[in-house]
Amino acid sequence: MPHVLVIDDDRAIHLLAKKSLSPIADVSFAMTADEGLRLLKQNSFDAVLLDIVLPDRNGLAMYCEIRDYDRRLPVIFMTVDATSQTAIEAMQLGAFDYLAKPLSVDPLRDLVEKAIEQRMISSVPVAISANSDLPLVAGELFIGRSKSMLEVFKAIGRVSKQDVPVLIRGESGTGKELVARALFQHSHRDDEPFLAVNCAALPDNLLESELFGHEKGAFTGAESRRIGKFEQCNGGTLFLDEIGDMAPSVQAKVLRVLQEQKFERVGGNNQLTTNVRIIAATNRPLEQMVKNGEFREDLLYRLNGVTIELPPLRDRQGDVELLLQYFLGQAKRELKKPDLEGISPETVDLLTAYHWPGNVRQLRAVIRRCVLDCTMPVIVPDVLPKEIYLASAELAETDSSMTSASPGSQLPELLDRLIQDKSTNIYSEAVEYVERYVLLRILSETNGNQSQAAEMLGITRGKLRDRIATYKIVLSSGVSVRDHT
Amino acid sequence: MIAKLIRLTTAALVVTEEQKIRFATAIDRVAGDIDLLVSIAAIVTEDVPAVFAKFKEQLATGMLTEVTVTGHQLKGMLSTFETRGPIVLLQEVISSARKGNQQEADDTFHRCAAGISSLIEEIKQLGAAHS
Repeated sequence: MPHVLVIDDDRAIHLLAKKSLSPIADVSFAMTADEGLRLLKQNSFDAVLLDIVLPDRNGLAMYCEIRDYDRRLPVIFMTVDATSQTAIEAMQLGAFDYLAKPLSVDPLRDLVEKAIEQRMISSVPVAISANSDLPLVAGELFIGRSKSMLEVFKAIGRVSKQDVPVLIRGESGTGKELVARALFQHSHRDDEPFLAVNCAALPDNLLESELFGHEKGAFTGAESRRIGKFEQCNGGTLFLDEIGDMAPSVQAKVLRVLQEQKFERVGGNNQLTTNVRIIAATNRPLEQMVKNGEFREDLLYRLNGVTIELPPLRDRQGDVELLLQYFLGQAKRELKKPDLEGISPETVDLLTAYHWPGNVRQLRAVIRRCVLDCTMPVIVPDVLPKEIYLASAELAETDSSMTSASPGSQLPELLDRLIQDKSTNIYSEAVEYVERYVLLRILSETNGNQSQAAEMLGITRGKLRDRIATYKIVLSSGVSVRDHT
Repeated sequence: MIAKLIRLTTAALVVTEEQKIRFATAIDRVAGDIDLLVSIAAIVTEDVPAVFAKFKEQLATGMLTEVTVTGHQLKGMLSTFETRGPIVLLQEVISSARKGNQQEADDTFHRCAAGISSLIEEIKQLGAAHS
């Protein structure tokens, strides 16, 4: 269980914090700064809640001492005055966030949960292994011995210590966040903050405020000035995940930071400077989005200076066994299945042959489910989710059957099976199934003519080419179409 | 004997409807956990008299730096239950003290002292709700 330290001279705050946080963390308490520092040095904490005014020390001075001791420990200030200049100064120095008293149970718990997550992201080491003998590591392991993954590791080594923006590209579940963390941990900024923002998770106006902060009254609900991530992260690293989902107005401001290191808070006139290294990630086709006017070409140019491409798992089948070994060992330990011996060769074959639309994240989820469901010492094909069987059956079908209407009509059955198997990847599987069928059907209709097919489908030729490549559809000249997955 | 047994085993809260309305916002903040709010009230009832007394003495003797620290502590304790009225004025006292303006701090305190005392009494009654 994570461990949180609350430093406040109000016993009522101790009680409220204990009740709020006990579902997610063990909580220790200190009434004074000195007591807090003593506890800090004697124990390992994942987050600190710190009152801005303590009987024996100013909160800001206390924060600086905590920061000197452990720069990656997230500190959340508590203050009775949300407009307090001290709170703002603390944020500018890199405090994780601040909460205005009176505290509310749910927001307190949510924020501490985020802080704990942030602690994990920035502190749990990401080791890299290309060996069969996988080391037992306390943190996370980045695994791969395929040529494409070795190139990724080399790229991380080459660029991590350079102070340049990096764009990480790859499908969902390929490990983009792991790359970002590895870049940070091997950089010269590893002693400074690392913050992550998912650009797809917030509405446009909130994303802008999250990144750049806002002034009091900037919009409805902006009751006090708020410091944004660019200011909080000064000197550190900011990971912008899913940057392809960023609104054009926010893209413009991010571009300015990249070019001039300058920005204004939302609703503000003061020009602020920041020294932040940006690492961005996307699974979207940014070049196509530039053509469609959805993404700024100049921002792409700035980000694209250094790009690390993560291959989809289907393109690194040689790594599947290594990943199976690692995730199996991890699941055995965490789910307490010491009697589990391994995976049968037939099962390994099925898992290796599967196309993994959800990539490594999906593989890990499948293995964990198999470990949970397996009652025998060896994981056999019967324990695998049906979608993996289904994919194997589709691989065995002939060319003519792949172009018939029957694959499309099996969608209800596919959904039934996925639901029955408690799949956590239903959307991705179903969309892929339908999309593949639609493409095959229309390309058959046009005898492989991509221009006509694109027109019928109502998509650009570029997008159609991209989908054909993704599904490995082979277009024989003029006559038939084979789905070559 | 049976009545006493029931009293010992149930330990029921006796928060009145009036109190629930009065502290409705505070109850929301603790996600509806009235038991938690009553427990917090009991703690505040124990601790706040000494803090309030210290605050008044520091203000009366012109110890304005200390007033900001003690005022912060006092406001923190009371704002769990009320954020308007006397608490807003209390913040003004703290701000005046921070600016070094004794007269302004005194004048504002005289406007909110009765309200703070009244709030403390209400919190005390809430804290006594455990039977």
